[in-house]
Amino acid sequence: MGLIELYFSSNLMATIKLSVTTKSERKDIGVDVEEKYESIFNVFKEQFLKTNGLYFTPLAGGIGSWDELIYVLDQCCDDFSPVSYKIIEAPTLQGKSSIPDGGIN
Amino acid sequence: MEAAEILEKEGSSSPRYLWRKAVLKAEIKYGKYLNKIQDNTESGYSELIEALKKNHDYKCEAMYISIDDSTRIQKLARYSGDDKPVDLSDPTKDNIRAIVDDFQEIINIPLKIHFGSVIPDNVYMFPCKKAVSEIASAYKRTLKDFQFWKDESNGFIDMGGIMAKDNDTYKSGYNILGDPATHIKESLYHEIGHLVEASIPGATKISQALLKDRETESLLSSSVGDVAKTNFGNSLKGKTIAEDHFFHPYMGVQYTKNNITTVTELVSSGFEGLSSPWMARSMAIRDRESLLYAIAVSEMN
Repeated sequence: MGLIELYFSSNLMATIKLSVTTKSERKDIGVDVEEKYESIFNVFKEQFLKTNGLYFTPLAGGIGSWDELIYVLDQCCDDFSPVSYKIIEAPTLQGKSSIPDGGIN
Repeated sequence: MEAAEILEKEGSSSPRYLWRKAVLKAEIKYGKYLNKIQDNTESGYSELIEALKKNHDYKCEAMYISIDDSTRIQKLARYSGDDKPVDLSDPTKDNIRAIVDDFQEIINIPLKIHFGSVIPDNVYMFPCKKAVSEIASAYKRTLKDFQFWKDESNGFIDMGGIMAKDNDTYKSGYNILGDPATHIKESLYHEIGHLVEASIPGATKISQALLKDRETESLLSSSVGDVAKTNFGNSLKGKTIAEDHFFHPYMGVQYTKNNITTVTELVSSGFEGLSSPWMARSMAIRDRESLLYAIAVSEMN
């Protein structure tokens, strides 16, 4: 049975571990995310998505990026199901800096 | 409901009919390229972009806002950080020039756009004087004293969230997980997409009809607002959102100003989908209709 686990520590600046198992292979990726989240994304993209010929590019706004990731995982793995992943805490862009009234993102 | 049925019941000027007609026309004209993109054919994307090029000689005017306007924007945003507005470097301006030139080639209206780097960690736009009159009127009171408003452009785009303090390096930006090499292009295609929608008479009304129909007809549309609450929290407070099988739920967002719906995230996100082969492929697979609609808007004037 496939297993996908996404663990985000309560402190997002600490280590994020991503463990992906498909039917054919298992990949464990541990990334020390000190400054930017994209490092985990880049590793993920290079090591997993490209292998599977899939693309993951969040929309500008980045909001919901992790939902997008879950979707891609869903496409990648035959055995993916809601019980096979767990997000302790997902990054969010809410609470961003100020924007003038009437500005459109 | 089929387009022909809506035509019969609501007439040829019905926004519900017009979006269906526009999407169908786009499918007939460009569907073969989307098929190639979807099948991961190497030349699919470049063939689509080549086919989308319009028969005109428009040259987009890319302008840059003054320090005075930048300072005013920070006040307008009640920005309390330490970052000063950034003068965009020549290489960045060259990059912008190339992007807007590419964009201008695939749309049917001449563009004049102001750029700046003012508010860090955010990317947004204002429709300006060349937007359709109803939308321009909604922004006039707020923006009339800015020089970029007096310059009569389609709008202003703040790239602050894209640019680093040293002016040239990819920061975290707005598309936080995006590919740095194409990050600026994706973000600008998105924001310029807003400007295009705001500048084409009737485009926003047609977009609204598409959103409304997909919200109504989708089996997922249990209650409008749940997506916003779940995915966006308070970030979209006061804005409406339609739920459906969009490429991303953010595409259901509509903006209002002075009780007027100004633009949607449907067109901007669709144009963002046209910014790179991988975005186009993802969107063609997951939400072909929205991508076709952005293509349809590119044909409007």
